[in-house]
Amino acid sequence: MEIAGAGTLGVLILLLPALGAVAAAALGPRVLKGNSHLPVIFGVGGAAVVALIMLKRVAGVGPEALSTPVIYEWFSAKQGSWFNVELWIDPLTALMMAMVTFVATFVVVYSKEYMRHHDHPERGYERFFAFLGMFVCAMGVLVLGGNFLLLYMGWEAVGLCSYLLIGFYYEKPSAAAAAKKAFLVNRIGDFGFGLGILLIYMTFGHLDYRTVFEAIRLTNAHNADALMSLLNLGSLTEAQELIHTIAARLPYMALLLLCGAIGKSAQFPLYVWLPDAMEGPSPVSALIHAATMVTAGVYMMVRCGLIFAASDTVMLIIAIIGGGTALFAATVALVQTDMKRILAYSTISQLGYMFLGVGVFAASSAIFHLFTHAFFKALLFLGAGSVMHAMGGVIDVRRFGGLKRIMPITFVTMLIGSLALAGFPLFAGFWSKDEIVHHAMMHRPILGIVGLITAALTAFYTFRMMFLAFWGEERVPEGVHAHESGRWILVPLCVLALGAAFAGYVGVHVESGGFLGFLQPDEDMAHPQTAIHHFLSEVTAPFHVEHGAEHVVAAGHAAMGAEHAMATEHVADAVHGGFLAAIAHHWLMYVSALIAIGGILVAYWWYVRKPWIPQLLRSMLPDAYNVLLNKYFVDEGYDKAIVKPLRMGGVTCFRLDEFFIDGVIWLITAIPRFIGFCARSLQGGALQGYGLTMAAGLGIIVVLALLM
Amino acid sequence: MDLSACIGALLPEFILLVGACVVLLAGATPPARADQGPSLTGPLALITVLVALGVTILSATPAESSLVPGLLISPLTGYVRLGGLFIGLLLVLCNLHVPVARERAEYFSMILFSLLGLLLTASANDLLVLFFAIELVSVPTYVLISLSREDRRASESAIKYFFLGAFAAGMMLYGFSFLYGSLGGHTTMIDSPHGPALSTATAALGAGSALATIGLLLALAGVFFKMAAVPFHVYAPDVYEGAASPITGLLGFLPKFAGFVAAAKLLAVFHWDAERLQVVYWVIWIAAALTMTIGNAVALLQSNVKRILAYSSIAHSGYMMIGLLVGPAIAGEGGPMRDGIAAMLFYMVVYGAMNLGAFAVLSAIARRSEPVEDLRDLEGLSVRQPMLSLALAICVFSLMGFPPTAGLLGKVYIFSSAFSVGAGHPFATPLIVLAVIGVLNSAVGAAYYLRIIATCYNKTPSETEDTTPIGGTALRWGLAACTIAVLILFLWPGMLTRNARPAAVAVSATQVETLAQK
Repeated sequence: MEIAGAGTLGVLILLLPALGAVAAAALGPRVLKGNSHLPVIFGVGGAAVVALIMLKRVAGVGPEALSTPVIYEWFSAKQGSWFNVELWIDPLTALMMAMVTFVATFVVVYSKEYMRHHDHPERGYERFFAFLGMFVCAMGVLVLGGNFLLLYMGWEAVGLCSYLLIGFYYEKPSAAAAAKKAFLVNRIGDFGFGLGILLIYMTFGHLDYRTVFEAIRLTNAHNADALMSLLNLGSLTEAQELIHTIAARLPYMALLLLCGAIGKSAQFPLYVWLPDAMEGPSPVSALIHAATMVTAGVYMMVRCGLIFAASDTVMLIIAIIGGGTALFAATVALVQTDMKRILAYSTISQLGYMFLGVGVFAASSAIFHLFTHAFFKALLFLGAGSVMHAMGGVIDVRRFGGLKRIMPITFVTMLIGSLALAGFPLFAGFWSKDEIVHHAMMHRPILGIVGLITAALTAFYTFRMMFLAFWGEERVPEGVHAHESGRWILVPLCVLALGAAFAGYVGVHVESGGFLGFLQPDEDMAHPQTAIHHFLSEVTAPFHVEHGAEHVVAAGHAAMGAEHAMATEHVADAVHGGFLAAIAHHWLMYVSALIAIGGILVAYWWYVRKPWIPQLLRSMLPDAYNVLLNKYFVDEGYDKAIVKPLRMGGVTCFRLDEFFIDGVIWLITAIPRFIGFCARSLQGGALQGYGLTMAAGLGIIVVLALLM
Repeated sequence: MDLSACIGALLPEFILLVGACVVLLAGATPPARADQGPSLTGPLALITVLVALGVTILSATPAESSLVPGLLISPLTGYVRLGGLFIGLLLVLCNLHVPVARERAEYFSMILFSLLGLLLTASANDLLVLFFAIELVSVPTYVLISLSREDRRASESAIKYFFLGAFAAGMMLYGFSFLYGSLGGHTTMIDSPHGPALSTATAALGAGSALATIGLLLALAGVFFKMAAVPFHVYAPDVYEGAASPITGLLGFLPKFAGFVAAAKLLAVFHWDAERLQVVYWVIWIAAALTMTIGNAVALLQSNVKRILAYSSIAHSGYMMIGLLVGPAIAGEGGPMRDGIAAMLFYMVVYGAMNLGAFAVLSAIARRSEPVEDLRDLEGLSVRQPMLSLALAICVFSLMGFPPTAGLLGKVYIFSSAFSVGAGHPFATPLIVLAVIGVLNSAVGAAYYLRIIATCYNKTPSETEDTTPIGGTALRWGLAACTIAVLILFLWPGMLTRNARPAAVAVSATQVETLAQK
């Protein structure tokens, strides 16, 4: 169903931050100077208001809301087909956009104070805000774009902004290296992503979501007639052949697109760039590397549910990557001492949960977790930034402690964020993480257990960080005048803390009465009751239909046609809604609540009460500790296995290049240069010579004409 | 013939004509002192172009009408008005600072006359009108070159351009006389109510006549001179180097645009019949291949930025000649990706903006109180003039065909139009070969374009003496407009392609035949 004024709203969301960025870049150096944040705050804030209006309108229409306004025709690809600048506005878009612009607004406000030292704007102040505005616009293109071309453009543009902002302190070698690493590692994923989009184009001949998704739907329904008219095919046999081609290619498309998602969302094995990306300023880590850009992979997988959910194997791969990365990153976070790195590994781990959620067909739970995670993780990063700001740039939790009284507001807000991250009952993370674990338990019990273990580790490392930084005796780095941050920093912290505390309630039954009912998340994902799942039910429908179909196929039925799809949903209901599931779920919920509390208590016991326990463990298990401290030596492994050989290869190629290829190239380029040399000799500068050349040319032409 | 209807149909042209005369008259009273002059002439010229552009935009795309004898108003006229006046606006902006005070009136009126010539070329439907229109583009440029700088080199290049231009005009007229003689004594090109025309005669020609073919070749030789296509390109580097940079930007656009439009019209007279015009098509093919290759190859060896851009201008003519050879697609089929003429028309306007932008940067900075010319003068420009440097980089990237600039789309359109020619086309294979040559040439071109950008961004200035910004605010506005146009046209090429497509249909073979049946 159409949404009123969708096109205008979408364009405003894209234009406002872009105009803010342009104004900051153009007027910043000369006119605005220390006030360069103003246009970007207004631009991004305005976009947030518009995005909330859009969310309200979409919610008013309901889960079936879908508008695909074509802003203008961009360029024609081939006969009758245009690449358009078009938007795709549905509940998922509206939710993502509202979240992105909302968090971005407060991050920009926060940066106003953070990017100053002693009330003087830092060098590159206007550059910073221009990039932030540019990022929000690029993220808007990624989320709002109505075809794969715009998705790709947005995808690369956010990558570019990320690169520019990680390397914001480009004079610092580590920052420059981190930016380069992020860019190069993402290149690997994006190469696959680009190939996936090419494969889509080669298969369907179109790149707009509407046509591609409709074609997949028709393929699933084996409706050759409709496919023929949709894609303007010549004959019915052609359409039938295409159906087979599409069915065969869908898993490959999914795998190639998955490469992009793994790179952008920092999953194993391409996660290595994200911890290093913490070299960027803290607001950047909060906005780009925690709340928004890194979740683009999850967004993309849910958006392309029809492609991903088509293959069970692909879904299993996603689930394994997600679960594995979640556990892996959580173990690394156990022993890190750099506050931002702990949070970075925690982000990787939480993104792993989201992948796991997608992989076990609980796409709307993954989006739910994405939504809550944005609030509490942005909050934690901004809190860490506030600490760093107060500690004069020191972020190592060994070098300070007992900040509880020095920075009370930062402490309280970070505590709320930590409770949410740890999955403490009733906080945002509890609801969303619990759902993912629940669905994992249902479909892949082993991965469900992995999810539970990760939850315990998460609670432990989060509170290890909190206890080290805020409890114990007051310690600050030497020569630092520790102070609570100003209100431009504290207000965003408080706002995001509200989100971290309450964002989870969009996924909880409120109307169903009774305490147990109140706590009970949705079980039947095909017919959800709670706000967010009901809101997203149309968007995530492909995951449920396909999953049901799989069961039917297993039972020996062929699932075809729309009626069959309905039937398969009922089968899915039967599987989802069983008595066993209800028991399993309640059991799980209490277990995960206990695990979270247990993790926090262990951290309290170890780091506040008996600090000798971790010391003892460290000396007892030096190898394990070292492996974790060095992040399983993955970076070193990559260095040995990939970077070094590549560099060797590079050196060899360079040598070859210098002596052999350069010679050949010189010979080849000698041709244009020789032509140039000959032709230049015509340019004597004398008028008569020129006239003669022209006359001779004319003569040759006429003689040619007469001979032919 | 109704005079008011006639004026209505040619309103932008009349506005230009009146504006040019008023500007010229404003300079008739001799100023009291040498450094004084009519200061209003520049803004007056600007307003004239602006009003003409406004009228063009506000009025609907003109339908086919041969209201005025000798002229055929068509969507092509509409497109050339739109593109020509838009770039014309930028040209006037970038030229506002160029002339010395007492020569302003002549200078700006010449720009307006030249623009008027371009607009008339687009609607000319008579060999003589076409000839006069093209010469109306060229003659004022001779004056403009010599007025643009108080320098012997400027006078030298004006003289060279004048003599060689006269030679080219002679060739064109000679060709026209062959066409006149061999095709039944008509001068009207495409059928109109005012009498029989060449296009009917060519349709009845059968296997083709050697005289008509030679006539067409001679006429095209004259047109090639305007485009700076090999072997009639020899003047370009010297002339471009001698003129002041903003005028070089003008030379790269107005005569070239007129040349391409005239070539399309001449081929339309022959119904784009590649079968019968095989010789002509091969001549254009060879000329295009040589133009691209020689332009790029010689540019590699230059160290003078103006000469580099002059040779690049030759190379770009080569790319556009691919579009000319592909010709217009049949009505209703595809966009500029399949239509060579629409692609060429789009490319021409984009080229006008990016080329002017690059030259405008050169005239915006001075070293030792001389506008920069050598690559060395640009060293470290990014540090000293970051905004100018950025503008130059964007324009040069666009010339190179790099995203996100309109130059990329232009190249994509041109090359893909060649690839989209059906197998039934007698020139299908040679066209694909030519497009491949074009792609290879753009790769060669990247070498010297990147050298310009690298000089701005990587090199630190070797000498301590500083470059100083010159040229004033108008030039910077013009430069900004060129740069933004290059970026906007990438995001929204539809602004031009929407008009380019009907314009191409207006010179297509089917349209010519439809007119003949009326």
